[in-house]
Amino acid sequence: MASRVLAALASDEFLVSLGTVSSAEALRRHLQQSEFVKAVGEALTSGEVSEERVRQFVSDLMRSFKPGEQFFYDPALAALAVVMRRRYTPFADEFLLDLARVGRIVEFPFSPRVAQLCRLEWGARHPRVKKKTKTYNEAALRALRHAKFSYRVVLVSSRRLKRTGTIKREASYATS
Amino acid sequence: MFEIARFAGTPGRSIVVQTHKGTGLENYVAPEPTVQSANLYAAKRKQHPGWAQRKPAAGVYNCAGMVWASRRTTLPEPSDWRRVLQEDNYRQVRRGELPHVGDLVVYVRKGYTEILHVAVVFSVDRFIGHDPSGGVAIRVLSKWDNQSGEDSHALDDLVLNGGEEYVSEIWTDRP
Repeated sequence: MASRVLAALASDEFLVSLGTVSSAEALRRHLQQSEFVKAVGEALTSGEVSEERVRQFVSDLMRSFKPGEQFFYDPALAALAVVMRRRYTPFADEFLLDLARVGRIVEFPFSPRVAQLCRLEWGARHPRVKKKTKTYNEAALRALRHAKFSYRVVLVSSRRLKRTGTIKREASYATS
Repeated sequence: MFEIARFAGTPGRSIVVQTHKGTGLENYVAPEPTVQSANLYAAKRKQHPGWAQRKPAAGVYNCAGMVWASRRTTLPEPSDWRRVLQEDNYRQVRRGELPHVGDLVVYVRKGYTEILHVAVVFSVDRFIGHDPSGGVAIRVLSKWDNQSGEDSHALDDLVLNGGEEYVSEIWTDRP
């Protein structure tokens, strides 16, 4: 059962059912309603299929990748991207990011763009942005100003912090 | 996971394609179909016995590339197809007006303006004795995608995006 739902994405039945695909956006719309895709999503949720199994499945498909030839299983990768858009796991994040990063190549006409669209949806529901600030008291600030270190400090005052400022360390290092 | 595609994938060769007003159109020359792709096309054809093949599975161009780029390249963006209709002085065929061979059939997502497919009117047969505003059988020529062949078929004998609902519009460059 586990490998059957994944194998179905690589079957002629699934690929023929797509008919003529006009664009990545249209393909994504169809895949969101596809029974093949829903079956994979349910199997992942119930645990019948593991993410490691999906990784292995993708690895097996990618063995047939040949530069200069359209990848036959591009719709299968697009289908998995649609499955991953509702899974908030590191694997789903990795899958969508890695596939979106492939960009525009003739071998993958649709799946990178589908992954990009799914990743936007994924990110909207699962924000990843974290703000980090470091605060220093007055004494520390004075010490840093007089320091003989060779790196540059930029003091940015924050409205929220009256006495202390937020220091942003710049990446560049001044040479002596 | 997809490192081999990232580093070994090819961006594809493109040529200069513009609308009549000079707007550049994104395009790429698609590779020739593999045996697997050709077999998939054959399997799709089996589901449509009314299709008559004009050309076997071929790469290079898609439906829009056949219609607007003389089969030289693939025009992948449906938004560009809409732009061509606007900038190349096409007009929609009027109600009651007969389509002509060479006119375009534009399949549009129902309720939206997104174009799903374009084809060329291949033949127009009027049923004898019928009212001229109806009773017309249109066959169109389609290139399904840049790995399939070309087939002439009845206006609605096709499956787009897994069965998405569409409306067919006829556009012409005739005055």
